[in-house]
Amino acid sequence: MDENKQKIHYIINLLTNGDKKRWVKQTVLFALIYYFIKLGVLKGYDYAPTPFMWEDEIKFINISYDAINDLNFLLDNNYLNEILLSVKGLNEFIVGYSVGKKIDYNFNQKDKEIIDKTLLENGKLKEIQITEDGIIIKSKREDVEIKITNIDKISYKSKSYIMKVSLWDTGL
Amino acid sequence: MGHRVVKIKNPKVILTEWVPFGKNYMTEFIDRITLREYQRKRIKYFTASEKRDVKDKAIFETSEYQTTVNIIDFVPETSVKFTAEITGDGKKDVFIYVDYLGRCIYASEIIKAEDEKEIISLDNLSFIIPDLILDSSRIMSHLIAPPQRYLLETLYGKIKVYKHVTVLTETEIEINEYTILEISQVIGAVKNIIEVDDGLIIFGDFGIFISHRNPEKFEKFIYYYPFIRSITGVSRDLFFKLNNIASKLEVISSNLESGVDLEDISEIRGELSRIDRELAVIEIVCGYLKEIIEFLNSSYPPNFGDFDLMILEKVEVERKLKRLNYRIIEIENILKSNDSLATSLARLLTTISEDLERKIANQLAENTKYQVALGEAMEVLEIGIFGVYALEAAHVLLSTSGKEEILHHIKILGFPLEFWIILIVTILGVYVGKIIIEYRKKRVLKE
Repeated sequence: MDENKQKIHYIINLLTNGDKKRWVKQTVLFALIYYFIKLGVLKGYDYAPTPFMWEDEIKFINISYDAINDLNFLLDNNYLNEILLSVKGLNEFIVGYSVGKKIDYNFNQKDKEIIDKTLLENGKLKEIQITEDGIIIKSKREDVEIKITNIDKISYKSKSYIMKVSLWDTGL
Repeated sequence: MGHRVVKIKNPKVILTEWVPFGKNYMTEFIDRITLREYQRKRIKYFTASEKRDVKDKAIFETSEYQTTVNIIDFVPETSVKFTAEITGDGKKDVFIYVDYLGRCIYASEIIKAEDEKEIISLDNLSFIIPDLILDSSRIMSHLIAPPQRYLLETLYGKIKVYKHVTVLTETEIEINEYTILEISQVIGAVKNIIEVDDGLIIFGDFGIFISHRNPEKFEKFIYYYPFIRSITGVSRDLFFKLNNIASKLEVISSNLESGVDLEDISEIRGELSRIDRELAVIEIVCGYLKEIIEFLNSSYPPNFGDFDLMILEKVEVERKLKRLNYRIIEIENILKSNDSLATSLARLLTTISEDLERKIANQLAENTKYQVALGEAMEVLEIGIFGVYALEAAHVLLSTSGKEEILHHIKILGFPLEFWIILIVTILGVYVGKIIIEYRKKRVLKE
């Protein structure tokens, strides 16, 4: 198993404490993946803005299709479990992940330290709060705010593409 | 960001969406954006404001985002083609087609992105598409009538994020695990790939990617198929919105069952009125959709050539259109049931609120009675105290006057005069006390 897959498994294992009844919310995992890509922990992953239902509103969020691909691999091979939780008063299911088969983690030690430092404080899990724009990892020292809806701006030039379109299908 | 694995030549990005239009709105729309013969030199600027107080201002300011329009051609009451330029965050030019079915097509060709010229990576393109979507939403909100904008904003919020994306390129793409991931970045997770005439149509979650040496060949398909997907998207949005409303009604219903106070009632009343507005908007939009779906079904197959009809057949458009019919019927049914549930909850809320008000009024009446009785008792006590003070004063005055002995010997009806003086002073004291208390009471009540 490559390092990135191990890291995703490790993050979920850390957040659920290896307990199969505890689940990491999909939105939280997506935000963490985006953050660890930015930090260079998840190397080789790309991300792109994608319309997504975030906190009951469709927004563009930075999603990594490479990570989703690896996540699907872990789910398909029972290294992770996925749950769809139905909640009274909520329209959409809450999607969560927990660990399935255990694996040995033998990825870069420095990356492990960064993940641990981000999520743990004095050996305990930090509190994670979901916001309108992403998540906040609470800490006694300094909170970490991950804004997954912040879309990178790139400069570009475009011109109108004139189509020969007309009311073809109506015959008017 | 990005590995820039897949690069394509001069990508054309075509966004498709449905906006509530009919022939009346279309006529008004064309009137608004076109210029008369004698106005040829004029440039019309369009923009929108969320601040309602602007209507009362003699001098007003507008947002930096403004749209200007250049008409290519139009068919009265039916359709219009134009290019729009939006200023604000730089200048951007886009081709727009709108017809009375509400089909809105925005087409741009990307010629430069960061350091890339002509050959643009999908990594960069994925960050350009949200910007194009945002700009097209801004342009349309500048141009459409306020009631149309109200319908869209009630459904999608201020800015509509979801639009169908078509990426058109002449660059041939080799399909493998990595290119599929790259393509997912611009059209969402890849669902299906079909080969057409030595080219590819790749279907994603929110768009399609067409790679063919002669991309113009697909213009009719792009005009037709993404519109059906947009309509499907709107019907899915309506269904989602209705489910949301149903969930809210469920919560309101259980709150009413578990008991509410006056504060809860005004909150629930506000929520129900919001739901009422949303249901009205869904009903209007549903009416539009029904008409469009019926039209598309009745006019299928469109008046296209063999090539376009072959693609439509490959992607099973006829079956999709029929399915849309059923979806809209289901939406109508859910709409009706939500509507009657909202009405019955509003009625229940009125009954609960009247009961609660009656209870409070009864409680208040009881409290008032008690307060009045208590007040009257206090009055009697205070009057009595006045009498006691008068008695005490008369008694002290008599004993300090030194005439007590003389008065003791003068008797009326067998009682000494001293007795009669004290009695009269006490009665007078009580009387004065009563007058003062009544006067003060009148003043307080008057205030």
